Amino acid sequence: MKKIADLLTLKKPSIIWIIILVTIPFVVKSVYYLHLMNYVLILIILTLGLNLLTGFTGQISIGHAGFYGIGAYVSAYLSVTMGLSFWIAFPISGIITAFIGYLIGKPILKLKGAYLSIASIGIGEITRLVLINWTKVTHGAEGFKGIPSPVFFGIAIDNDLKYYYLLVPIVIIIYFLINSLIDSEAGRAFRAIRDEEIAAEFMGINVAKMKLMSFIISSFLAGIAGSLLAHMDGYLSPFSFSFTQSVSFLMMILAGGLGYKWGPIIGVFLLTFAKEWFRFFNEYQLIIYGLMLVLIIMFMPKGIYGSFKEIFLKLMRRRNEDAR
Amino acid sequence: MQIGFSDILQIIVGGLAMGCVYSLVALGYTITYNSLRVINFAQGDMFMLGAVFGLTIYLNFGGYYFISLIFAGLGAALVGMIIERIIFRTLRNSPPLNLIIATIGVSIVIRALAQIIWGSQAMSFPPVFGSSPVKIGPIVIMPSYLWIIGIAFVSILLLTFFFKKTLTGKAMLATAQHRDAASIMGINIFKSDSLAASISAGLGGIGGVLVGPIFFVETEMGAIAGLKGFAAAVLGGFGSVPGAIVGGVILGLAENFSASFISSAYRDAVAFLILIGVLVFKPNGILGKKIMRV
Repeated sequence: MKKIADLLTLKKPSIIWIIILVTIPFVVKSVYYLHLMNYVLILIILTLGLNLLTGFTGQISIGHAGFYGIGAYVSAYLSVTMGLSFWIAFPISGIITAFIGYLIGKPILKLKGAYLSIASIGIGEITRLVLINWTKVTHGAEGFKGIPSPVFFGIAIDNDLKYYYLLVPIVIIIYFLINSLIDSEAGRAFRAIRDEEIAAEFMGINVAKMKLMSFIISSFLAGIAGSLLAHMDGYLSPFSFSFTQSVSFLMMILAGGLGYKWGPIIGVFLLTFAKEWFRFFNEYQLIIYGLMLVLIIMFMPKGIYGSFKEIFLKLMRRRNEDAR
Repeated sequence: MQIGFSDILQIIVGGLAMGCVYSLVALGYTITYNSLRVINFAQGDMFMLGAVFGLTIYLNFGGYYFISLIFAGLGAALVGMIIERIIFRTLRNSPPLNLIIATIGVSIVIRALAQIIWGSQAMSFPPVFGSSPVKIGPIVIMPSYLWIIGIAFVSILLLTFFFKKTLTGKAMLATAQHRDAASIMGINIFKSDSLAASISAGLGGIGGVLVGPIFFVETEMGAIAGLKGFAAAVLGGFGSVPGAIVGGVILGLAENFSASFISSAYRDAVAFLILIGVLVFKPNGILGKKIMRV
């Protein structure tokens, strides 16, 4: 209850962040950067879920592009083929993706470590192949065209600025919900499973159930992120939900700081903008991107947030010692 | 469609040939994993490097296929050795996820570099094995399939000989079994690591040169080959050398049969369905040891 109270009253730093988020479009006038910001917000939704699964529960998934794709295509199918409104298609796409996550998670979460990551690669690849080949529903390789923009009380949310203000409240709500989950009893159970599964089981935690819960939440978030992507771009290509995409999600949380609340946010910002800025290097773009990742992992294994936090804490301790 | 006995034989030969290539890639994963405890996601790119190295050598140095095969294998092995030296040795004690992501980062760099050097266009190998099919009894086979099976077989024989009969090979097996004990016995474990990484990369490279003449050679070819080699390794039992070979062959056959009898659109999905099925129902694979479920 205290968490919900915090959420309603909003602690001071949170208000500052919300104000920054709301005012960004007044500072950033470039449509291009605003469009990138929208991508960043969508990816934050997805990586918050992936961080819950991989960072806090310790279960590696290299197949989340699959759930992202399922959410996007379900939403596209519901709104185009069945003619439903965005406000119905959006939650349903999340629920269906979560249900598929339940069906998949139940058997594969028995696997551990590297084996789970391999199985999740398989899930992602099969999803991609189904999206390409199930032409009747997904329109196959040519992609899904003409997905309508959401309409909010008669206002069509059809440009990047309006879409930004659709995304901001969703991201803020999800951020607070995920964080209160992490701080709750369930969150402690997740971390216990990550740190020592057997010990967690002895403490009376239902390990299988908690892992599945974490997996379902992360697939739900991937699903709604996919739905938001579909209605923003209006077009879906099955080739964008690839193994590389799944890997880049993991890279984002790892670069930002795996298992830190702020990790995914920093990681998504950094990698999305870095990739764009490196366009300047033309064909060397991917080389620099790859090298950056390898270097972060080699020299900052806790990610950017984790490493800076550690340095900061060390400095604070030293200052306290000096004061004494 | 009426499918006769000779058609089935043909499907088997084609499946065997691809299966042998998967086996080589799978062996690469297995050897790296046994020695270094790393799942090297750049293994598929060694396959691609082998193919582009092989093609370049073939086109520029007089067109001797076997010379380009050997040098492409050596070239890929050298790249594997460099990766081991720079990345794996530094990250020895990192958590598995960091290692996995690091190898994927390496794979991105290699693929992008290759794209700059060789371009993103698909290139084609000249038909080195001859383009006219040979008739053996009732079946008609492309000679390239027979060559692939033969060369892969010889490579695996040589590898077995190396591990069973030479001192260096035995030292590597000892290192894989128990690093500290091997080190106390005077084995240079870093040399073993280095060799393991380069042998893995070399095998992948040979696989790439072998499929070069059947498929197009392109810088993106490593991704799918890497994942399939992986599926083969898991199917046979991850960490088991005979398992990698058996897994590759079974995967190749299963793929070719399902492409012929069910649908070729989902040809690539077969590998992943087998992969997940094996992981869920029999995680140790066909020939894997019990302890592999870590």
